[in-house]
Amino acid sequence: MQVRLEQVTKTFAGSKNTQATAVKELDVTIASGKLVGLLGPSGCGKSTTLFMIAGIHDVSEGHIYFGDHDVTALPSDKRGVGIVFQNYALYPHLTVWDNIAFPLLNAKEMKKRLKQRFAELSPPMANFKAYIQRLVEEAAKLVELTAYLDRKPAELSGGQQQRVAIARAIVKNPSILLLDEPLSNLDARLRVQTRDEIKRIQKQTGITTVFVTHDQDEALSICDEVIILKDGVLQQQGPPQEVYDHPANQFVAEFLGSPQINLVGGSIKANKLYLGNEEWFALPESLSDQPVNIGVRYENIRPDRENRKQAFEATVTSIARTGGTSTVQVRLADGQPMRLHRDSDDVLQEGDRVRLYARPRTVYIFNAEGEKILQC
Amino acid sequence: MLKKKAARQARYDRSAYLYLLPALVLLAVFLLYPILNTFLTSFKNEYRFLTGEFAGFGLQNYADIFKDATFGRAIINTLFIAFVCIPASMVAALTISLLLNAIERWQGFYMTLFYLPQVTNVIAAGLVFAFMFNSNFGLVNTVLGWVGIDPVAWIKGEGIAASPKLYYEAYARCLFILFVYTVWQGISLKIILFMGGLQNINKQYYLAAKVDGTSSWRIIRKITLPLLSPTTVYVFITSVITAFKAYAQVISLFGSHYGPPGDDSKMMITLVGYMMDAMGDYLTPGSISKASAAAMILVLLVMLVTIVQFKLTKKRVHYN
Ligand SMILES: Nc1ncnc2c1ncn2[C@@H]1O[C@H](COP(=O)(O)OP(=O)(O)O)[C@@H](O)[C@H]1O
Ligand SMILES: [Mg+2]
Repeated sequence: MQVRLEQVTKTFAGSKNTQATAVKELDVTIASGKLVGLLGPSGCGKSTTLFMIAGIHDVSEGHIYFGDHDVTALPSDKRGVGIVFQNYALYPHLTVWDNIAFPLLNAKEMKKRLKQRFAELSPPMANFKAYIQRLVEEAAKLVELTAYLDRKPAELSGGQQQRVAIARAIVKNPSILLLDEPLSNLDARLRVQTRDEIKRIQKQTGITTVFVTHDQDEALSICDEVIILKDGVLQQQGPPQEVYDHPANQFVAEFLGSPQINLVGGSIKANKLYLGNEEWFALPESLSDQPVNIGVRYENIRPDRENRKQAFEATVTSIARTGGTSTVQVRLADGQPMRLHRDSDDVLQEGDRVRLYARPRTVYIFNAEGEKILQC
Repeated sequence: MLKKKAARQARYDRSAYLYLLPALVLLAVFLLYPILNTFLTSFKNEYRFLTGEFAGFGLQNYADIFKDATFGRAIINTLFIAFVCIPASMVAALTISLLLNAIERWQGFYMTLFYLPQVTNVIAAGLVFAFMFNSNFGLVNTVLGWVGIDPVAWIKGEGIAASPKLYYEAYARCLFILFVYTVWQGISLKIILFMGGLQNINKQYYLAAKVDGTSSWRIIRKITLPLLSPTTVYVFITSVITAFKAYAQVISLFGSHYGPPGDDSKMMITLVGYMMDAMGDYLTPGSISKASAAAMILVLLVMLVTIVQFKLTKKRVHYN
């Protein structure tokens, strides 16, 4: 189901009549059946947004639509969302089976819906209990936990607990699945494994999924689309590669990518871009003279072997080799540092003077306010 | 390697015991010794407290107290307090705590209100209670008067010895007052403990349940109560101990003769009251040892109830 947020604002009443705006005039559309990452640094309003979609938090202003249906005033249990909390919130006294079955055995509403689905089953099943049993087992199978149904959460690893939480969220066949930092409690190796697992489950079920994370790498690697927030304000939305290659502003450019993008001070004078004090290249558009920040990713900087006009000079100050690639730090003519990636068998030496080069379309020019003013 | 490690561990252990020594000595002197001594004394026949003489070990003291009608009353009253007041006050405290936990405004105010009995003196509050049940100008009779009920002679024992009917009616009234007071007195601590337990439950369980459309009643039954169970067990055990030690409230409500004015059967005496009386009578040979025997019975009862409780709830208590 498509989820649309229209001018959604959330303010929390703080102590002594202060107000804190956690989310501000958010306008986003989450396409049906997609895995969408809600990305931003800690405290930027991701969980708040998720909780508003779930109906746990009221919306201060604006509207939320599921499909064509305005759900802004709908209580959370009527929205048909499944949610996985950051710390899973598995009931510690219940077995995995009971945890997964919990939402099914809940309210009258749920029972009614289930009974209806049960009645429409083809081929029909003999009894309702067996149907519940089957739903729980199907969910457990989807997350590959069939062997653990009798265990208590404390007897499972972090990754397994995570999958129980996912099973509990999808067992009631939600139209939207919400995941709040589902991987943040896992160790690094498990995190990569589990995120692929989430991708698989999402593809297999086709449930529209919102995946909250502060880890850009996570979001970029599994999401169909990412939504980037900063201080409760939308920065950019788009497919990961698109957002990575065409960041809307300096914040997005800095936030995405690991290692962090090179940012070098420079200026525009007479429609020419200066890297530090050195003239770099002529701009294809006319822009007013101003100081700028120039962003170039590590992988887009290469040694110039063809004596291009658009190359600039630098001195190698250090080389850090890690496995197949090495990170080379250089100093520009005016002393500003810059880093680039090279193969480890590269012949560069510390103290070498090199000519470097980046294709203009990989160069982002930001003004003093952090807005992108040009990407050729 | 392993040997070395074991040796080091032993050294650590030794120094740990050394640090613990002062505490252990104090424990031995002030706890272990009195317990053992009481245990031994309870088996000394015709034990004289002042000289320490006794006529051999035996079960004489136990036989004596079990033949004593006052001891029978003490046991019955104590069990009454335990089996009526513990469930009543626990259910009341739990209900109040669940309600308090559900409200947001004024929570602190109500908690202070409910905590007040805890900081008032048991004796003083008991006197106030006794006064409330005064036949002539007590608050209870005044209120009953408003709804057209004749004044009740709540705490009255004159002329009851002759008629069992009158005796048991007076007894029932006194028990009622004792129960009300005991529950009132014990409820605050239980509320505080339950509130602590409730607030320790992660709020996300409730959020998850809410998104799943769980009804409030099911949330309480399936989430709150199981997760609160360690607190409940703790409250229960401390309640058992407090109930079996009941004494001060009886004294403050009914005076040192353990009954309404005019009664001389020690109608409302408790186990601890029985022990106190026996100890006060220390010049009589065998009196202190009878008190010791009563104390051992008390310990036995508390242990019994606690063990039964553990066996019954073992499966249903969830410890993290
Ligand atoms: N219940 C609340 N009451 C008051 N402020 C809150 C509440 N929940 C979140 N906030 C504030 O809203 C902002 C966004 O929080 P959150 O959505 O949890 O961030 P994120 O999940 O992106 O880390 C933070 O500044 C946080 O302090
Ligand atoms: Mg969060």
